[in-house]
Amino acid sequence: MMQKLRRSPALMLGLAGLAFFVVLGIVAPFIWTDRAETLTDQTHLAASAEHWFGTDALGRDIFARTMVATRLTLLMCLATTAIAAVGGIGFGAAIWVGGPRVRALGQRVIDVLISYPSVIFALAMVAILGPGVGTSIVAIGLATCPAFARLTTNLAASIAGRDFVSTARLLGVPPSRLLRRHILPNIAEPLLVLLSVAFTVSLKALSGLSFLGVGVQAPDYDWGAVLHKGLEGIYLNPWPALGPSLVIILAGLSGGLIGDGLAAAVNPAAGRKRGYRAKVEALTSVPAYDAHDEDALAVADRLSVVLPDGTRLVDEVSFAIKPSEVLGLVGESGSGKSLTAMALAKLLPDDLTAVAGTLKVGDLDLNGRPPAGRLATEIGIVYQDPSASFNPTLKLGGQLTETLRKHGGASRAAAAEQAVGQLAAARVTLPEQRLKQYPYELSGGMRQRAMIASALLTSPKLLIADEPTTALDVTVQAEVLGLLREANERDGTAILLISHDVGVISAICDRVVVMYAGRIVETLPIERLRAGEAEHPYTHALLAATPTLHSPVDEPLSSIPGRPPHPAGRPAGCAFASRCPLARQQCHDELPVLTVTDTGATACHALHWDKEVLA
Amino acid sequence: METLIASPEAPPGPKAAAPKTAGSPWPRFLLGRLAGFAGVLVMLVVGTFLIVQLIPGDPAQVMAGPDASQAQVEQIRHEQGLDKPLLAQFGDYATGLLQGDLGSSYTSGIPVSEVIANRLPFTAQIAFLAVAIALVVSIPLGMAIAVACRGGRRRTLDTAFTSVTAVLGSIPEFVLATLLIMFFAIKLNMFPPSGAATLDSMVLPILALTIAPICTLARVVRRETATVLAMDYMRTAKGRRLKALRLYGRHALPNLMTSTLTLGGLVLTGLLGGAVIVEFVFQWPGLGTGVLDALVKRDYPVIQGVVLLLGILATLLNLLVDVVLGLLDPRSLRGKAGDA
Amino acid sequence: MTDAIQKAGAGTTTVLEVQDLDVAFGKHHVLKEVSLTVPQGRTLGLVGESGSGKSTLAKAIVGLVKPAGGRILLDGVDLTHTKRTVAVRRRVQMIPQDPYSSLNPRMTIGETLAEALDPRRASVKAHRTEIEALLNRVALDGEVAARHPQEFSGGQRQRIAVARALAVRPALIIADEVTSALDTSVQAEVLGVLRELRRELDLTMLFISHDLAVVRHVCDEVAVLKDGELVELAARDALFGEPRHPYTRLLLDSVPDGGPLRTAG
Repeated sequence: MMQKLRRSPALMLGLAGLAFFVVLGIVAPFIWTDRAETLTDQTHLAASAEHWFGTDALGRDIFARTMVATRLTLLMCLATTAIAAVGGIGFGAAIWVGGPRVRALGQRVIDVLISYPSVIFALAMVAILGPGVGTSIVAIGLATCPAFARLTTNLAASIAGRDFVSTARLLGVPPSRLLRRHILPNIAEPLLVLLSVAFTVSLKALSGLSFLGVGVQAPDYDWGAVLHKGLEGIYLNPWPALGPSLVIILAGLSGGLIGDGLAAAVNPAAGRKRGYRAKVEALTSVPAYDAHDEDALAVADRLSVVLPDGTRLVDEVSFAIKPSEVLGLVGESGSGKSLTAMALAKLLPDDLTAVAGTLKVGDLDLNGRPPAGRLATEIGIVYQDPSASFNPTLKLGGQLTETLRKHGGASRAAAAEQAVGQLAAARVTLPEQRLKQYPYELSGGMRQRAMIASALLTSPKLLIADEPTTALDVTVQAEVLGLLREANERDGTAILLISHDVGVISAICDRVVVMYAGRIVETLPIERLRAGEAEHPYTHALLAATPTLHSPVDEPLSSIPGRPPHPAGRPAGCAFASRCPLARQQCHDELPVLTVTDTGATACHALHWDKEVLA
Repeated sequence: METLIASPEAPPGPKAAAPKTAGSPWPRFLLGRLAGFAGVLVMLVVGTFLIVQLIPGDPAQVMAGPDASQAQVEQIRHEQGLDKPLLAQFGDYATGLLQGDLGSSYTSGIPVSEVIANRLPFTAQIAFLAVAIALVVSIPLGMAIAVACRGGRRRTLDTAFTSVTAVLGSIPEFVLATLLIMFFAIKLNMFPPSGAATLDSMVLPILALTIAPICTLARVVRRETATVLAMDYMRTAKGRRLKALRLYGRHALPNLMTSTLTLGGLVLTGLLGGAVIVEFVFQWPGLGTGVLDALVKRDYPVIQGVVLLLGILATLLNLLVDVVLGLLDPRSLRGKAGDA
Repeated sequence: MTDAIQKAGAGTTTVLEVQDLDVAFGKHHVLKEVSLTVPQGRTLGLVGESGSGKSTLAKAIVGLVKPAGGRILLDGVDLTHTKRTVAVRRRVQMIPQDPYSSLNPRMTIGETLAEALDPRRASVKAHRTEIEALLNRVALDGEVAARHPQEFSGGQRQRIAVARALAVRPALIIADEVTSALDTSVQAEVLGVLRELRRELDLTMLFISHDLAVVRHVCDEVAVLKDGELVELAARDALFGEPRHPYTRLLLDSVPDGGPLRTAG
């Protein structure tokens, strides 16, 4: 597993520091013990070339004492960390194995122990056992145990909940192997991080005890004890305190860097190098066919969504939405359909940039900086997951009416009244009470109705619904789709509906745009989609792969071989060519452009082959 | 450092659909928490009682010191009730506590409750200020950095923040205290190096006590803010095109407070331990110096009293954190009420 | 020895029998007196919405959840209250829903399959030919055995999970929402593999899904669960052709099925 750890500069620096101190701990006592422990009459000397940190009350060289103390300090840290790790992981594993009741109780106990300040616990231990090396090690070791125990139970819980563990149990994998091959390798890295952190924490705590004079006792000495002595003469001579302070800081920093570095290396999301926003590039091609649709409500002309490294997740898509139209946007994961919608909503994630020839909704130019108020009220948005899209810490009322109050100038009471009306229209039960509830108090279906009501409150010109029913049950899905259609028919609200499900699109859309690998491959009226009369081979294949309640069941669904290309490796020609049964050499070389057909538009070379033959 | 404060989430057990109970979850939550508090209290009382019992060898001998005569040892044994059976001793100790009697210091003869009453204000002052300052500085700082560096913006600022907090956060409070005294008190003569007479005598102890926790907390807040900003509900809020103050203050802050406090509560209780150390450096007449003094003199009643009190303070701080969490996010009430 | 029973004739022997099964979490009854049977070589579809108890039923059958009442019989043997031996546990295998959590990221595909073949020693070398044969069965190349799960797409992972279940030669396979995390075209590919395998290996399967159209393409019989109760159990064509229970009709009417919306609101 170590080969996966990325080597960050922090980690390397920390490891180098640790290595330095380990070498110092090994060799220092051989070199400096004499100077460190021989009593001389050169007492209380200031720092000089002879005595870098000066001398103490008994004429011993403080630099030498600091160096020699390295070994004891490191050994104590090692022992403390070992106690904490063995005891903590053992305890954590034991309460995890002990069944649900033991686990609940054990976790409460850990919570209590972990919140008790370790210094105070250590002082109590000193009171019992008397100060000394052993007491310090046991006290700090025990005080750090709960942290390991908690991490172990949490990690074990998260891993044991994974399907591969329960499957291995069904396969009859013996417990020892389950632990060795399935659990431990998957929790080793966070425990390793904790180990390095525990080492740093014990250095701090052990030195702290000695510093207070209740840790290591003379004639033994560690860094904390040297600092304790140095503090006594601080007015006359700062170096006896400054020297050991610096050494403790350096050692602590090394440990901290290792911990940070390991944590970053273990967590794949952290430390990923990302630039911020791509440079806007010039548009190359000519405006697309329906970008100049005079009476279109919303227009996207050659819209691209670009990663900071220049990769186009959406590649020059053009489409228009007519007033009161329900336009469907269908595609599989990675087709760029949601990004297209979010670009039109001006809600792309921070590191993505939208580039377009024209991007507008009504007279709002989204390429510029449209006024916030109009943006908020004229484009309504319904999100995919109703349980995640409401703020869990705020009551529904405030969230539903926020746009009205902040941009519509409505008073709290007026906004609430409107919200109640809209909730009732969306058939949310008990609308007045809902405003005072938190989102988690509603079912998923109710939440999505509330989301739709919220989006419709400002009478938007365009409603963008991004997979609005994917998280819902099929009966609730039907009701929510009904609501959307109703809003369209009642108020004439235009809707852009994004879905991976051809069935959902067919249910309420007037026209559909099919996306594949970041590009539009076809637009067609819904009747043709319902009839299965698509022009593009991908649309055909998608329809054939979709099971329905009336398709023949005696033959297997046709699947599409291969996978869509990665956006960064999109071929020069048609992105579907490698999976397409009709593909010829032309398809691999030339990018097909979206060409108007009788009923829609299709980007496919095969369309022209027939015509060429005819001509 | 943040890693030590691993997330305290309970494992996802097989949960039945939570029955939707009408009415406030608060009574149940508070009852559960109070029961938990009582449990911890019992643990603390037993624990502090055991401090004397667990002394290896003859507790009376240890308390009397190595030079004491046999008669003195016997006198202490009798005075402290160590010649009674264990249960009777515990009974005495517990009933004493119930009546507010923590015993008397046997070096000075002053009742422990009085010792504590004299010293508690100093510790409370410094600990309360430290907690307040740590929160007030670290939360806006961490949020500001997270917002400024969101989505990979301002990499230099990000790196600078990470490095500076890593360095400052790894300095132990006693080392920092020493350095502060050297520089500000001795070299610049700006603040007094010790004592608790004036307001400016608090500056250095507070600095020494809060800088490392501020760094740790600010890093936690920065990470949690980044997590919150990536949540779907923040996109929903962005979709309402709110002003930055409302977006981050009203929508992000409560959510990141819940996770920050869950993780950061430990940093706050850790401040109590730090206070003990810092008091020692600055000769601050609080509970910390009191307990160290008692340790040297083997004044066990004082040790027991102070350890018990600091334990109660830590538990109360935790309870406070849980109540604040409950106010911020009512869901946390239901989760924790049951298993107390 | 069980092979003899399996060869006795498809459709005649009952592999799984669930009688009046009750499961409760606290006071909440998740399953109420559910009874069903799966004969040898047949596939029973189990449909229902969230909270209907279909996953709980699967867990009860594999022994992850303890029933409060009723019986579960496998090949006529009552498993309800006995402690299941390894041999018994291996008779029922589950293909989990999430292809991203069902394979151990720290083990190669070969190691995962070797463990299924021999959970104690799990030697890849000793089982090289069997592993290759298993991978070929699910239309994967034998060479992928040396790779880790991270290198595969969702559909490929799900096929590997199928291969792992097959390795055990179980009496019953439980497929729990195996395609719900997949894209349409990938779903078709996994369903295709399952269809092939059913024909070639005479598999007995409990196929759990919320998607009625998928169930229709895979199953011989269909059971409909609602709030822990079995509301309808019928042969596929009967259930989809003439649903008898109103809830079944509601479910069928709610499926957006390539036509305009039928139920408004």
